[in-house]
Amino acid sequence: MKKFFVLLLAMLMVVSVAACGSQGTSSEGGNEGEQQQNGQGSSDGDTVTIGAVLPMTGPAATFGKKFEQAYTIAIEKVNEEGGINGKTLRIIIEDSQEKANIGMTAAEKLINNDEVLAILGARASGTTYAVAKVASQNNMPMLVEHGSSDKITQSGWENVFRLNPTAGMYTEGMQAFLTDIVKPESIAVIRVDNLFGESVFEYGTKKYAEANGIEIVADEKFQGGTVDFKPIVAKVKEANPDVVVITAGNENDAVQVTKAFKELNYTPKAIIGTGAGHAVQGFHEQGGDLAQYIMTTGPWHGDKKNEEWQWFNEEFNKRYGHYIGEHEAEGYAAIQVMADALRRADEAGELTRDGVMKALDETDMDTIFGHVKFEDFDGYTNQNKSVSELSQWIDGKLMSVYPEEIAETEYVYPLTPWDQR
Amino acid sequence: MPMLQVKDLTKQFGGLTAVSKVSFSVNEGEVLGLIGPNGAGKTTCFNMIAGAMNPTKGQIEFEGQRIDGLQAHQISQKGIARTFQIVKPLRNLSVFDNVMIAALSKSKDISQAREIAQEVIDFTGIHDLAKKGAGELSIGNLKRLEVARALATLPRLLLLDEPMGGLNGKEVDQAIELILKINKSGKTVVIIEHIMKALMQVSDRIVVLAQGEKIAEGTPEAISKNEAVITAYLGEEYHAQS
Amino acid sequence: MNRQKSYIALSIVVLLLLPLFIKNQFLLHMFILIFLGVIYGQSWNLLGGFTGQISFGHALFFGIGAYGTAKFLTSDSLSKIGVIFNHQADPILAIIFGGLMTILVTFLMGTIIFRLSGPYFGLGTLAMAEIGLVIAMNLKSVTNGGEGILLLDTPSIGPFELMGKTSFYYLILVLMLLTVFFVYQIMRRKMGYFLLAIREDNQAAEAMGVPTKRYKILALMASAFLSALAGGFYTLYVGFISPHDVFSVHTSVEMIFITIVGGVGTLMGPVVGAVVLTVLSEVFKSYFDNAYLIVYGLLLILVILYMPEGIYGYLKKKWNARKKVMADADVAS
Ligand SMILES: Nc1ncnc2c1ncn2[C@@H]1O[C@H](COP(=O)(O)OP(=O)(O)OP(=O)(O)O)[C@@H](O)[C@H]1O
Ligand SMILES: [Mg+2]
Repeated sequence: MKKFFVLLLAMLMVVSVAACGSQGTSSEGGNEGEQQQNGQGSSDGDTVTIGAVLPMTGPAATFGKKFEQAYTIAIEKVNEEGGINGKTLRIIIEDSQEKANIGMTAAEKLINNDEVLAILGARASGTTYAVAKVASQNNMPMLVEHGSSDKITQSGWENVFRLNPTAGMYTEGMQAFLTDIVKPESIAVIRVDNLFGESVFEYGTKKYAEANGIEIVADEKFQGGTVDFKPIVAKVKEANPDVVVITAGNENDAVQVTKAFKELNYTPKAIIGTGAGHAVQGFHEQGGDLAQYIMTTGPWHGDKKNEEWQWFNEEFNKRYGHYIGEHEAEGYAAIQVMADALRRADEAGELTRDGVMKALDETDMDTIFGHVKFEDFDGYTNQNKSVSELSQWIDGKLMSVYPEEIAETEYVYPLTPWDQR
Repeated sequence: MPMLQVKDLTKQFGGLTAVSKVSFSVNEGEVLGLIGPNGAGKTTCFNMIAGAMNPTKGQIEFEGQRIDGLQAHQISQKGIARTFQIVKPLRNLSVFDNVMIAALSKSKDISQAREIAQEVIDFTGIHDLAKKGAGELSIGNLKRLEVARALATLPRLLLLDEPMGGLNGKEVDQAIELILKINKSGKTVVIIEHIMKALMQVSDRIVVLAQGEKIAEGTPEAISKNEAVITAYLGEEYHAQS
Repeated sequence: MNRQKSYIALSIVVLLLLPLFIKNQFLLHMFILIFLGVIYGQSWNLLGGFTGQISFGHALFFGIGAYGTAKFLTSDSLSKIGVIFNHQADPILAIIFGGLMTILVTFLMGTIIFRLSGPYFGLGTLAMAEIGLVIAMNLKSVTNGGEGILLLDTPSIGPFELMGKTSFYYLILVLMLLTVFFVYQIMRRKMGYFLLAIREDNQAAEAMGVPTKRYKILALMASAFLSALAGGFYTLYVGFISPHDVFSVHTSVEMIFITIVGGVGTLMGPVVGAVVLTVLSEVFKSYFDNAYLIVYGLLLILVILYMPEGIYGYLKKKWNARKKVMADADVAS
């Protein structure tokens, strides 16, 4: 019996470790090195160290990896071009396992032991929130590049800056398109049941619909990993909205839900995702033709005409075998913003946490992710009014289609019915 | 009125009838022997009286009250204690704690339980073992611990299931002495035992079970001459010897 | 005995004064995690170590405690209760509320779950925790589903804001000391001896007059209440909970490991386990990079295989053996 317990225990452990899908790779963008130093933040004669909290193990490890790769390229470039006024920039990445409490420990360590000058992170909204809380208690500058819950920049934290649009803002590209082109009377919503899905709905779609007198005729939630979406899509079809807005947790959700539309042969005027699963290459790779003409609204993937964007895109593909998406662009831009702020803090003779915070507050620059400036508005603090765009899957490629100023190509509207393809 | 009265007691395990319509009674102050071949249903009878199992049919009265269907700890509260044929010591605890815990359920606090435990340990003569772990004892001492623990619950009726199984000659004599001492101290005893010499010595009366049924009841002499008992259990050899 | 008491008093004084000297917030955070781990271990050990009922589902109680606390602080009607005693929602009442919710649940599940014993009991608790997770995901009106619950306001106890490490340090220190004291008190009373008897042999305990079922349910309630305290503190400290964070099998397994590595069925075991595992997991993180979970897992297997009595149990055995050798030598000379 005792043996049975030990066996069961060992199995449980193996399962939990396996579920973590540990990667076992080095997580340093630049070169690592423990750096102990007195005073506020670490920057000695020749190095400047920043930190990041990311999911490097666990189910979200693939996303942590994307950021790590983007940082690596960005930091190498910064250092090749003279670093931080001659000092070498380096980053230490701590694992969060995409869990709030582990992220918290990671942040404490970066702030207090590694004595970094600023931190980046932490992908998922819940973890980002916990990390931001620690950062604010330590008066530590933090640059959020992906966590999108609106509350993160609505808590009045002066040390927390956000590069990416909030979940609510994700829908701005869609909003413009709906107002200008579709002029819908009704919308249906299908959304994943987590903090991201909730935020997109509360601060985006719902707020917009209410302000514009558009009726939300269905609001269906699902759990990440759902396979059969037919019951949900059937309900939506029954409600017969002009447009269906979908928040998918990952590409699997996005593919499965689209499949249900096809199987029920239901074609609203437009199907619009809200980034995440709809905006990664995997959506087309797994879904194939299903992805054709599906739209998605979300953070701008950057100015594709920008020279640095094009260089990064090619360089990334050369090293890691695929082109960049939202995460990679955000990661690269985050380093651009940090490097700029660190340089200015250094020039002002204040290469300290306070100095970096001040410099971030004064940021006003172009990045591959668009123009970046942290502003206070509508209850947000230090929030970049980053561009949100509407893009569309056309022949396997995600093309920017709206607003027209940043469009790469003409949008296809209304959605071609499934049986006429 | 008998102290314990068992009427038509029956226990079935699936298709097997382990005990079938057994009736007997135990008078206050006596030692009743319960014998029979392996698998006769002796332990099963104890299990039902002590509440470890519910009877399939039949009833059990103790001091005029129905006790069948009660749980084991409730029966212990009523004043019946039992030992186990296959000893069940609390292995990781000391001998003293084994006895003390048994006393606890009848005590108002730990210090009272300690007093009871000390008395019982002195009474049963296991003083030297008190500090040892129960897991380290020899089988002889484990059997004595079983008895001590049962006594610590302050029973009026004691059910002893093969208290001499596995003991050597000297230990058997000690056990006989102890049982008689217990009986003299005013406790009623039912004892299951395969060692006939010892059993005959301690018992006032004997009940014989075979294949779940009661086949005889009487004084030790009467039983040792009973043809049915000899055929079913004692065998010719024993007959010849006596 | 008196010497032991003065050691304990001394350690408590040291722990109380520690934040005055520790300026490194990460170190304070580590202490907070260790104290939280001690509660994890004590909770599991009370049922698993002392009562012998091996549970694989203590995350259920942790989760209910976490959600009860969050609910109390964020729901308008519930937090009003807190306002009566205080100028705003009271985190202590919130934690107690979480604990009471857990007791209610254990009361309901107790009679069912103890129909199972041994490995089946373990699997039964595992299943219950999974059910807890599914309910937390789906009972959106209460739990907010997979979105989780964010605590936006800083809770205060009287005039003391729960802000910064020091206040949380003292809160968890007090909770931990109360927990250890609570378990110690149970174990030196009648109930404690009954629990040990149940662990050693359920049937023998019954025969000795112990109402085993009642005491198993009592042990489950007490154990679950302690897990709920830990869950409540987690909510206050981290400020964000979601079903997968608090109802996860990781939490259950962590509680078991803290106890097993430290020493099952001893009061000090979970303390040793919490210190060793919390520190090692951080050390491994810095030495083995992202493979640290594997190294950590291997170490646990080694401890279970070669020190089945846990580190504290092992040291105690060695210590006692040495004492005995020295005593024998004394006699000889
Ligand atoms: N829990 C049980 N489940 C199924 N069968 C049982 C159980 N307990 C006893 N039996 C069966 O009931 C019958 C009577 O068993 P019991 O233990 O009462 O015999 P016994 O007279 O005590 O024998 P022994 O002298 O060997 O101890 C046997 O056939 C035994 O296999
Ligand atoms: Mg028997």
